[in-house]
Amino acid sequence: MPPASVAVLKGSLDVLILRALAEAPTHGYGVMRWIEEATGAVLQVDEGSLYPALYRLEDRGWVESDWGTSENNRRARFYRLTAKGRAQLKLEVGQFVRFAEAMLQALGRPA
Amino acid sequence: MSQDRSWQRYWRFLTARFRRDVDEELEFHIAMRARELEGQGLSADAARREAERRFGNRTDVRQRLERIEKRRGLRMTIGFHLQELFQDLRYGIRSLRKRPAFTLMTASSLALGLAATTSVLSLIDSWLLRPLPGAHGRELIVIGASNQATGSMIARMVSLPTLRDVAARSDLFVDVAAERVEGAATRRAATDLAEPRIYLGVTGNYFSVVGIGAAAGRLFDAEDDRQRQRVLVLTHRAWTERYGADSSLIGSQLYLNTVPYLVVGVAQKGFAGTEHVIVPDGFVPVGGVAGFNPSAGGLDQARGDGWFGLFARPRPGVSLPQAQGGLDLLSQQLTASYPELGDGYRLEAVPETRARPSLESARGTTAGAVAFSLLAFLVLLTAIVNATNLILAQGSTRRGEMAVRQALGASRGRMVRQLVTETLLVSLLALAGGWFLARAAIAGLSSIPIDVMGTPLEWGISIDGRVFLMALGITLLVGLVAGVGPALVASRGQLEQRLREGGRAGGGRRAHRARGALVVAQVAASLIVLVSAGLFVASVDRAASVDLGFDPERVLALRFDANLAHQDEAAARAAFDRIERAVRDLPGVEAVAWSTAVPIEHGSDGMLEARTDATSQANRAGSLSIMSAAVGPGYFEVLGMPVVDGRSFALADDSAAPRVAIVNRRAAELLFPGRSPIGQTLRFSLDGPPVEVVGLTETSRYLLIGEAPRPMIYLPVAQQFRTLIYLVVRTTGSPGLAMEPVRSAIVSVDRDLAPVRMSPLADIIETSVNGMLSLRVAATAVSVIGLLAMALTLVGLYGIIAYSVSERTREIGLRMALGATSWSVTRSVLAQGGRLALFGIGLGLLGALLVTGVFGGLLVDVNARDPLIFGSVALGLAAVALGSSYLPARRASRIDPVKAIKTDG
Repeated sequence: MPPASVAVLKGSLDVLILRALAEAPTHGYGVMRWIEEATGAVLQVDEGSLYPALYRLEDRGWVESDWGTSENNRRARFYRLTAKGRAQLKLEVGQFVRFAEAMLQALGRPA
Repeated sequence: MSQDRSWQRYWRFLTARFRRDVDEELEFHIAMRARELEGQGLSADAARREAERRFGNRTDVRQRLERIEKRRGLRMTIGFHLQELFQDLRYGIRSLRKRPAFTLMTASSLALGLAATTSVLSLIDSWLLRPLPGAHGRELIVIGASNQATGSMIARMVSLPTLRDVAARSDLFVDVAAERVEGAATRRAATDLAEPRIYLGVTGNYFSVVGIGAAAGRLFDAEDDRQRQRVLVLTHRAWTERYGADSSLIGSQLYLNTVPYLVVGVAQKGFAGTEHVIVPDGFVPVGGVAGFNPSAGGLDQARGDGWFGLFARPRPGVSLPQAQGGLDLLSQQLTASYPELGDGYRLEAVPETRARPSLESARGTTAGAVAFSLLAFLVLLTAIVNATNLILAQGSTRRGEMAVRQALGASRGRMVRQLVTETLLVSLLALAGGWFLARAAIAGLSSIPIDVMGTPLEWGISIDGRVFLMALGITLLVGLVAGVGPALVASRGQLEQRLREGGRAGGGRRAHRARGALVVAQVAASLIVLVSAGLFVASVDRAASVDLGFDPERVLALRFDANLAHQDEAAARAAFDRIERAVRDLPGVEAVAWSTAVPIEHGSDGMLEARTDATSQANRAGSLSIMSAAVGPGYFEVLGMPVVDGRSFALADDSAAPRVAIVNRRAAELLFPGRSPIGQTLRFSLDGPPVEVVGLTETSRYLLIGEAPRPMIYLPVAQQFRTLIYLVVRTTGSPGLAMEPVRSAIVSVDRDLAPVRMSPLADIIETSVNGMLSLRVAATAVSVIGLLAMALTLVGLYGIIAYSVSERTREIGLRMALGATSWSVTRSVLAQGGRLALFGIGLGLLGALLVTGVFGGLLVDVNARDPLIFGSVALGLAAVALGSSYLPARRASRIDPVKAIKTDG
């Protein structure tokens, strides 16, 4: 168990999902596992919010989904990043990095 | 899967599948998590519980997902329909472009109908619907009066004392204002040349009753009125158009008939008074009117005099009949106390929108609007039926196309929608054309100057966004009406064929006969209108060359009003003498003369009760009412109206000389039958002084171009001084070129007494309602309607023949296969068109004989049953009818029998 977990902010969930899918197409559970592992389990994804986020992204045309077979041979819905989604990811990563740098710069000053 | 009709069912199916998918997806997630937890050592049960706990409320998530999906579905559905609409539009445009002749004909037919409708709509909107600008525009009622003398006409003849009595009925009215038309020669600087302008003399509460605000400066009120302030409020239009919206004018003066008035403000934009056809420059409080118009001095007290129209705001809840009831009671009381109001005096209230274009026309306005609307509706209906025929005539080709599309899986509803979309496209095209035509028609009408006794009138018709919206609504309706029927027929492809195997459907034949009757009616109606147009055009032609009995070329008429300059008789006479000398001595002026009348412009200045010794002896009451004019020496020479016997007036015929008169031939025949009038004596009242007839002129036209010979008596102007007088000038060259020199010559001798109107006599005859104007307007209007009717008829006939040919393709093919020649086919189709046309022409000739008798009196030197006009219109229409049947006839004769029988059988 991670010592202290932080809830994922609403806007950052979208970009995390996109990033997860940039790795490889996977199902919702896979997306969640990737986030948990990639953030060293510091970021805790609200599982109930994951699917509405995925559907919204699909509605916007950033991801596509299709039914396939999971690693343990179960029928599962797999999500895949579209070209539009990849562009969006790049954009959001850039924005987030600038935001984070600015925050660090401001907060990092001696108080 | 058919896409549109079962879309709903399909959607339900999708929803059910969506729910199953969601459940499966969420279940997969939880199962995966449970497996992971089991791997960490939890029991199967505990792992499952923990996984579910971590996931949270599953129903909640499912609902959120459904909401997202529903939004997406809705967007897709709208997108789908939009896409379908675009498809229909694209397909429709392509299909119309493939058939330019059809498109053009259908669209122009509908355009004519829509143009007629739009013009009438804007007329109705301008005259009957659009409320006055101002807060109380909608509630205002107008009160006028009628009596035995006015007959059924409601006149603006309410006096100020009566206004006070009406306003005293505060149980009925919140407030009552009065208004009347005033004219004043106006100038900005005392040294400028004055221009005649129209003002409304209004009570101080006028602006508050109508609910009008000021665009600049202030408005005047009851206090200004009471104090008889000489103040002036300009209309926004006059302020901008005449004075360039000069704000320094506000607070400075304008001279009305040489008297200074303070311009206190400008009324709100868009408010042009309450007269509609008379557009004033501004408003003056009634109390201040007498400043420039001395005859208005006693208005405040004169019970029987006034000529005001009242504008009243009824109390909330008081209906028009209630208000009228109160006015009836008041009218009775007034008649009893004031006999000068005339027998049968009655105050009458009408809603302000019914008092247009003028209160006097109130009783006719609604009826006229209804008549016009009916006419426009008929034209529109004809246009729709024409369009329907044309669309139906496309039927056989379209049916093939429809069959193919149906085979490819398009549903019938989808095809009907496609066809209706096409008709709507054509209608919109027609609206563009119709709107353009209507605007042109209204602009054309409005540009015709109307002049009644020197007062310019405006038509008060404008076309605006409201009218466009109404026209657009009608257009869409028309598109639906004209499109749905044929679309249903066309999409019925197979059914139709099956029906036809057992012969034609009865309904079809009945409809066919109805369409035939309609074409007959169209031919008849266009013949009537064209014959009328022919008669009017011939009238204009004759009138232009009619012998008026005088020569208007090279004559300039100047009107003076000595009252406007506030000059007494002696001063005015002196001024007139100076003016006469100044103008007479100008180069380019041949002769000048004074008169109180100018033919057509102002044909006579009154009536005389003429008696001869013979009539007086035979019957003491015996007199003839004959119109008269006072003219100076040289008048007959200037107008080219020769004195054929006796002498003309001379300078010696002044006020001190014995009284003399000149009569025209018609008067001579009536007064002195069988005798020479020269040397005879006339009296103008029983014991009046004797007047010797010294000259005789030929009878000319006086009041109207087309009038029957009228008797006329001329008196010397020096014996009959009038303040309103004309100077007629014969020029050596074009009278138009002489206008500026004449004007400056007059200004150089008398700045105050500039002519209130100066115009070449030939122009007056052209633009006066009594002259060519009414004839030309009638001729133009009737010709336009006639051509419109003919165009519609042409399209109508073409449509019905083309339709019948397309229906009979198989039959004609059969006949040709059996040996009919192409000429015999052509002949039979032409005969079908010819029969309809002949019916229509026969009917139309009968109708025309009846109709032209009614307006025969308006014609000038033209027989209302002129056989040449009747005959040529009938022949022309027959030729047009044959022409429009020829195209389908030729098509019929070129039908390939083999193809026709195969495709349609």
